[in-house]
Amino acid sequence: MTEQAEMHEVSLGETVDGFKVEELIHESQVSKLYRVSHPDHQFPLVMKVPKITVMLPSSVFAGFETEMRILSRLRGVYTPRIYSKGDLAVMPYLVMEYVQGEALKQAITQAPVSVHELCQLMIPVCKAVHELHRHNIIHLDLKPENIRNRDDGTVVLIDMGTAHQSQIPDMYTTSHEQQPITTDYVAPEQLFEVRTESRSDLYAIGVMLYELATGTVPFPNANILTVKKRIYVPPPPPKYVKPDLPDWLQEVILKCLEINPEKRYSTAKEIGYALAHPHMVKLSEKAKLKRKPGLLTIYKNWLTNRDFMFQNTEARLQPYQRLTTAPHILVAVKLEHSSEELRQSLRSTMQKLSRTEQGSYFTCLSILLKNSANTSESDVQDFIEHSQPRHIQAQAELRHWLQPVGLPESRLNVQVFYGDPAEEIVNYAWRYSVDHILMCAHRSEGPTRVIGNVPGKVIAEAPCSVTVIRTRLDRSES
Amino acid sequence: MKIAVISDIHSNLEALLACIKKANKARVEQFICLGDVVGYGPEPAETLEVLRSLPGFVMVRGNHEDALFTPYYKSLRQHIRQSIDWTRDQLSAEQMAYLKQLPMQYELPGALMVHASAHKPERWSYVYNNEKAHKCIKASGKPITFIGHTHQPQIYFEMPNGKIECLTPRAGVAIPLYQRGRYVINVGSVGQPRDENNAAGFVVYNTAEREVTFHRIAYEYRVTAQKILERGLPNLFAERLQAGN
Repeated sequence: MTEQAEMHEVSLGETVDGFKVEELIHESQVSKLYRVSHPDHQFPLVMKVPKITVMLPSSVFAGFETEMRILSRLRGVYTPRIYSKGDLAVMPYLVMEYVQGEALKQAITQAPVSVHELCQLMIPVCKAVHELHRHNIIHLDLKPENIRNRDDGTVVLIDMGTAHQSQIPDMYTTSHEQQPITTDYVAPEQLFEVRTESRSDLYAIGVMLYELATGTVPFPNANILTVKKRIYVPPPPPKYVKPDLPDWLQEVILKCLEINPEKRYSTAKEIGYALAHPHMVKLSEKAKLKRKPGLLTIYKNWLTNRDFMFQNTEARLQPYQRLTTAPHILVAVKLEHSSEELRQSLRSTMQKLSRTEQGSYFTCLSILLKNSANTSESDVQDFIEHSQPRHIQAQAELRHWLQPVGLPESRLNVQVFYGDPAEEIVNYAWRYSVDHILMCAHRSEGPTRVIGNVPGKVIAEAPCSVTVIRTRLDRSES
Repeated sequence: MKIAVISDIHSNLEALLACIKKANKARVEQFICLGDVVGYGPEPAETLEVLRSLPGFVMVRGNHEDALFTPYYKSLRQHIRQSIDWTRDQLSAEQMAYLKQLPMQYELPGALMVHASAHKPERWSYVYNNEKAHKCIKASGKPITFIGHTHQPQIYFEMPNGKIECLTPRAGVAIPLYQRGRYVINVGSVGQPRDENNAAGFVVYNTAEREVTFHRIAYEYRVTAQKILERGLPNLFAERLQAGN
């Protein structure tokens, strides 16, 4: 108690370490949020200050400290940037950028929104959550209020007070009954106080998708008494509310909202990928469901869905480890000017990876050069040349080449772009969180001088591992 | 300030030197040893001299130092007594006098350093479960208690609801220590790890950031093992170095 007596709670009108406390923006049970200004920073800033009273449990303070430590460690791309922090023992505070954009929250008030708008809003959210998991952090309180966006559109996840970071002691103790957590977005396992499941965040993404698509959450008006229903009652299919929803979107949403985390997507990145590539979504019987789950299903779930199903902590992977179970592999292919031997080598590497990494999914990317102005000698030749756009032909050739790999459509996507090969490959890898790039090193055959050293550039700039396939050289060739 | 907290070196000079190199790279400014510099290993005198030359070196008494001077010696098993007897012959009178005056514990602002447990430290009991850790936390009087003795790196921490939890730390990860949390941090062992990992272990305590980082450093244990055999010490002490148990 003496420690608390010595602590100072920052209040309105004060100037702390150069930050002038100007306006109280928000006050919760445990903290206050002020707008602050500083002569060196011209952009909007907020200061979060925990309430220092002996009445509050110390877990509240731990929540503030968790947020401070997580935000300090992350570089502030998908989380607010930190500008200053106070000594926790003397004057705890946290100054961060004020991210004001509430595009998602606003869209939800107008939901249902179009499928296009839903994808535009949620693909960046999936990317941000994926990045958080990559740092071994699970948010555990994802909801529209906690998802903001900067002026440039970047999604920012706020309020890390209840987040879990693996590998360090988790000081969070308040159960959901005591916590003013938003029950609409809470995953079934969170009701058993499981805090180490990264797929809890994927459930919350599913709820937001549901809400955007239908205008309502799957379990509306849930309270402390009724929230446990979701442990054995599957959500009503989105088509029950909005019958004209595309099959693929219902499939994605219901996969996110699976009661058992094992049946959900493994990573947020996969959800983002599915939203960006609807034709890749493998449809099950769920895609067409229009009726609420029957009593028999609910009864069966009631018998089987017990706490042990959610608390299998031994088998639980850390968020970062889970990301590696569903790698997105980009195969950069150049069918023309490649030797048969090289092409086979690439295909067999793909085959091996697809077998050893059961959850992997592939994008085969071929880049066509732009300078393709054909000057043919006759009108008939012109007609033949333009009857089939080059990228359509290239896609057909790629699919044919990929046939022996035997991958189902849900695990294999074929893309053909025009542009600079290295640039397009690297951009794609950034955009879709690719985990591994496979490509060929072309030697003597073909006009390699035209495209320059593509593998070299990709290796230098790609955000992931790059495997360059080569055919074996003989001494005489080297 | 960064402090290297090391423990249970057990006359293993190779392991100690590897840890010091790593600590220097991490820009450690002070070394604190939680005892058991001697026993088991082949170079007690050399190990002690290297330690005493380290910046800001402070050391508390471990049970192996205690066994050199007190009847505690009689409670030990035969092969450990053999190593204590042999060690006694290797140390100079001045070194023996240094080890004899060692305190049972050492205090820093906000932290206590003790070999076995803050709860009745002279009993040399092992903190190997949450209940023992709770006793240690209660007896410590400081929010952070650094211990060794079990040769197994662990962090026991008190949750805001009073419950004790345990975490096996991963090497190289900076672990934050919460302002109001209470912790028992077992730094593991430099010279004879027993957690199925034969790399030498120690902790860097960053007082400004309130963080601890566990380090594991591979060293050439075969050299140490060979020395143990050459000096006629029990084979078991050499074998344990490879197995890390």
